[in-house]
Amino acid sequence: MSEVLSISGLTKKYGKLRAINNLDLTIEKGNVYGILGPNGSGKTTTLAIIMDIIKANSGTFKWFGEESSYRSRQRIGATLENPHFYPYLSAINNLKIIASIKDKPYKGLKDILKLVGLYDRRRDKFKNFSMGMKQRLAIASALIGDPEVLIFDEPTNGLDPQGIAEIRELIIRIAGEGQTVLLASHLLDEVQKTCSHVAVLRKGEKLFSGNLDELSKESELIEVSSNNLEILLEALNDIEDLGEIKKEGSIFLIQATPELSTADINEILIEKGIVLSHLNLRKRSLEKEVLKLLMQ
Amino acid sequence: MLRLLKIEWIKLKSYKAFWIMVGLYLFILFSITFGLPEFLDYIASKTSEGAPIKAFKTIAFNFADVWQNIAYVMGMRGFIKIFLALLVLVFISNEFSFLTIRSNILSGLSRTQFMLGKLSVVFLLSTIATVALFISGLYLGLRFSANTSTGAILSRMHWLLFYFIETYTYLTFALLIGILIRKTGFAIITLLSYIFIEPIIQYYVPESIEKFLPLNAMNGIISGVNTSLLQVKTDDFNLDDFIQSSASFTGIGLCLLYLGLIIALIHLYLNKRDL
Repeated sequence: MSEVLSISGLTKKYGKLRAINNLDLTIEKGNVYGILGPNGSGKTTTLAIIMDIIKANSGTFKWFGEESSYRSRQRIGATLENPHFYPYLSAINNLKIIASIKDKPYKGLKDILKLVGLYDRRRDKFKNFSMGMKQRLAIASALIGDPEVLIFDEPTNGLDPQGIAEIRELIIRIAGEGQTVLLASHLLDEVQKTCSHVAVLRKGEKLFSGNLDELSKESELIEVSSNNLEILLEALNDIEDLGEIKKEGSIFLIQATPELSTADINEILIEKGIVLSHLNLRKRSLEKEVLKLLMQ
Repeated sequence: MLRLLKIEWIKLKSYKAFWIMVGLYLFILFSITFGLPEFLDYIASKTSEGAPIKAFKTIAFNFADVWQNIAYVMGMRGFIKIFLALLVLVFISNEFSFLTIRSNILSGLSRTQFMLGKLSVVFLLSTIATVALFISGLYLGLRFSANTSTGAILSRMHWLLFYFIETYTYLTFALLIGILIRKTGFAIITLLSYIFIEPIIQYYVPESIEKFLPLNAMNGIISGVNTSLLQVKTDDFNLDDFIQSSASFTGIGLCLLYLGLIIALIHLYLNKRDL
């Protein structure tokens, strides 16, 4: 796998406020990478820095293993926060500007407009567009010239439920073609439905990054209970590398690991002569997990 | 460079406000050019001493002095050149108020290329202004000049180039103000105020420094009119204060220095700042 984007030690300060603090992130080819965080967590600032809209105070980033330049940006399709287009120009002319900047021909524009459902409105001025149409035009502009990486910043902002479903479907379809995608969102559900990897940001700090499955695996808890809780707790304490044992009513919670499954626990306890009255694997949803992270 | 101009062209070609302003500029300029002789005739017919005014037409519009004279009048700060400056202010501050500069950069334009694109539009506007000036001079000269030989027409046409340099510098100055202020309304107020403020500053600074003030320097190449026909000098009548027989290297150098300085400032600002 080759690195598409590598960020290291990126910091951006606005006065005393650190919008992002010492951020490291690596995105590899084919990743569908979600950047998840509440508003003000530094998602857009990060994207703006890697697209040269904002200058970082310190830290570096590389696109395609090279120093970032306009040439690397020509290979990327991106949308940032709110769509920014020339209000007095038609949709097609706005896209022509982007195509010219990317040094790409105009002939693919029709298909892109059809894809986002704006073909019939292509000659209408941008200022007459609804929020949903503006958002879809932004996505269209990102698709110009078949870019190697796609960046979407809150792509479903301001869309109606049907629009949201359509855009997500589109991103999933693009991702399915092996395209590298970077998606910033404050909606957990959105990241869950579309991404393979996730980085969670809070107040400019990275709380977690990695495979989406890893995050959910981490949260697998084994629930155990028996008629005699004291003996059970004693037996549990004897098990090596068990980690923290939490008590929830008459149930003990143990972190599940690849070395310690529900079956392992059961076997160990039976050997010790303890019969469990309750044994269950509790899978926490990513939402709870991330909420837990964000609450810390 | 052609790619950059093409990008700017798509932005401007269906922008009505732009064409209305260009049209207005050309309309006013040509109204002056084509209306001035008739206007002078009208004044002459209303006064008892019409002869000097009629003589003025022949003197002022004589080839090749006409190039310099018309460049001087049309190049005056605060005169119709302001239309072009307003145009520049609008199209540059639009990029900031619509935040389209962001989508330009993130789509793959470098910040320097963005600047070069804008400078190429300024180049285009200065060229339009210079061509309009050429047409005006040609019309007035052919109608009123005593000497319409090809040699006379072609000589001293370098004043058109001087006019181009002054206009280009002035419009680049407007570009800088637009980039620094970002808000269209404030940018226009700033430029117009400065046009009024500089003469006040000039009043307080020593005479030797006057010519270094920005607008003075940007208008310093063509600082007066010229005539080869009227050489009369008496104690009461002396045109020397208005006459500029040739452009000085200091004037040209100062203007170009300002041009370089302004472009360097724009470049520095765009490459350092968040957009």
